[in-house]
Amino acid sequence: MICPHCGQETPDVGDVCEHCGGALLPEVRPPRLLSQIQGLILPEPVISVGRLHHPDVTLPPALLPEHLDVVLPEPEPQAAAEGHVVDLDEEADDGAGQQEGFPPPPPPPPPALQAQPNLTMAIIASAMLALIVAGSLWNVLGNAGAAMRPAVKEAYTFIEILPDDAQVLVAWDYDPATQGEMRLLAQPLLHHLQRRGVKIVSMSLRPFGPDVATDAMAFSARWQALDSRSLGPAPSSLGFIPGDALALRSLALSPVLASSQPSMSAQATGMRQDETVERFDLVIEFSADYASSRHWIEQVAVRSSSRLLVAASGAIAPSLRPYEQSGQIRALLAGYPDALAYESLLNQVGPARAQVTAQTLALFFILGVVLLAALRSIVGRFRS
Amino acid sequence: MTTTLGILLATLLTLAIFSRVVYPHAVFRWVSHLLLGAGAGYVAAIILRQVLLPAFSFRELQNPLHLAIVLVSVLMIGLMALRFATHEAVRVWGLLPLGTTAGVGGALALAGMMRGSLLPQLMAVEKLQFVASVPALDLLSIVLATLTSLGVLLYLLPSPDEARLLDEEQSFGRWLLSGWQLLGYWALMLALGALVGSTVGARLTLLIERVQFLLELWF
Repeated sequence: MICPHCGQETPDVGDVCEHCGGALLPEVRPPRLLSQIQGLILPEPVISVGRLHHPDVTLPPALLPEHLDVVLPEPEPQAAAEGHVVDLDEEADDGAGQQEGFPPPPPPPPPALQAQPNLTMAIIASAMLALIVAGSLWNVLGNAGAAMRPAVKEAYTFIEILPDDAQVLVAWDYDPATQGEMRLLAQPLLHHLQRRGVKIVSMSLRPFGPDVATDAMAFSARWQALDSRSLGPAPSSLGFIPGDALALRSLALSPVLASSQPSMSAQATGMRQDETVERFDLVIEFSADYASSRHWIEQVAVRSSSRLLVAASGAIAPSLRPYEQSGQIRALLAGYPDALAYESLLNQVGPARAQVTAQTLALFFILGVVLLAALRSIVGRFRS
Repeated sequence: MTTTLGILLATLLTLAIFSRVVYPHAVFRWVSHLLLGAGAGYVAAIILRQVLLPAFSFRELQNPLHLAIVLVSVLMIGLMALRFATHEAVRVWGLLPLGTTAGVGGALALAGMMRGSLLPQLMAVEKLQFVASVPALDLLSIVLATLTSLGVLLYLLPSPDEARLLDEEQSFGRWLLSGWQLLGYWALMLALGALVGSTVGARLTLLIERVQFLLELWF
């Protein structure tokens, strides 16, 4: 067949052109709501100037929120060929492109293609930044009490009642991009484990995992320097274990064999190759990725009686709540509020407490902006 | 001197990323690419150092099982690479490891999802509590959850039967389905709202931590 993108002949087998890599399959229209979601929430950050680049989504300019003042260009022929054009206007679509099996040719680009600087956004962003700086420098709410969810107390109790010779597996499944939030949860939990004197074995499904673990332990060491109690043995590590679900399946059967360097892991952790994940009294996963947590539940928790405790980013917490309610996650700690609550239980002044004023001010500021925008929209509607 | 330069650079890079909310300028793009490139390079180096090289270490290869695993892995990677060669026969052989990888991964994911997500979540419906102190409302919460779930399915997956019913004028079926779909639509909107709201909160925490990190460096 002839490729619609480069015009060269390509074998019929396969979904893409052998020469240019363009898609050969006819466009498949997603369900209505799905296309709306895809259009409004982009899965990846936008990098190009004035252009939305994503292999699956090309937004029509009509979908842009007006208040952003960004003028999107029409897709270039090559970009449209590589991307999947989501057309929300079903009535306007005559279906000619679908009949041919190829997306319809894009219209010619308009003259004004550049995004415009947005003064309103500059003022809002500067004001929020100023509030955060002020709240960080003048932390008047630093001693404010935190709302305590039952899960926080439950997690605290799990660690408190661990036997002295307990062994805890800690998984570091987040990247440096979310380190700022995850460290809030990692520091108090890690400190609590070390204060209890249990043996900690670290591992990660992500390449950056060992590094973020080192960072969290360095921060935790600041508290330990002030603590007179014995702090247990030094943590050992299974390192980065690639393979996601596959790696966790083998980890459930033998943590030592699942690691990249079995003999060294056996030496470091003191575990035998025939010991399963049941050897651990508690499994703690620090996660900023829903898929990682789901893999832990589906591949490890179902095969083990070890309690699974997940400390997750606030962004993925709503998706993990069902697993907490079903008891598959014994306790789910999420984001800044739970970190603050855990610090209160430990009677420690930590990074979450240092954020109280700035976080409160910023949240009130965002609430104010949203209310003002809603008010403006309602007034505008009445006027029209 | 080096530390001061590092602090200055960290501040400038952070502000360059943050300024995206105002205007997607060239500096933002440059810094984004720098960040992604450095991350990708670092990951490649880690995988090489922590996974590939240890697998080829003499000590690991003395174990016949490990040696066999390494050889099979190398063979499969080679065949996967051949999948992209142009000769048809080579491509067919290349499909073998790709199919194995996708098949094993798919089977594992499917079994895990059935055993770890679908069945436990279905069983957990009976644990739903509308108001914890009023057990009489438990049944109501189960019914509501079931109706809402079906409403979401109806909204997302319009069936031929539904289309037929919707074609009929003012029928009871049309009224029922429209109402049910509306329930599903609002449930979806609430769920998306919760996700977006909690994501904003999480990103706000990140921003504050970053600002505090820079303040700590400067003062």
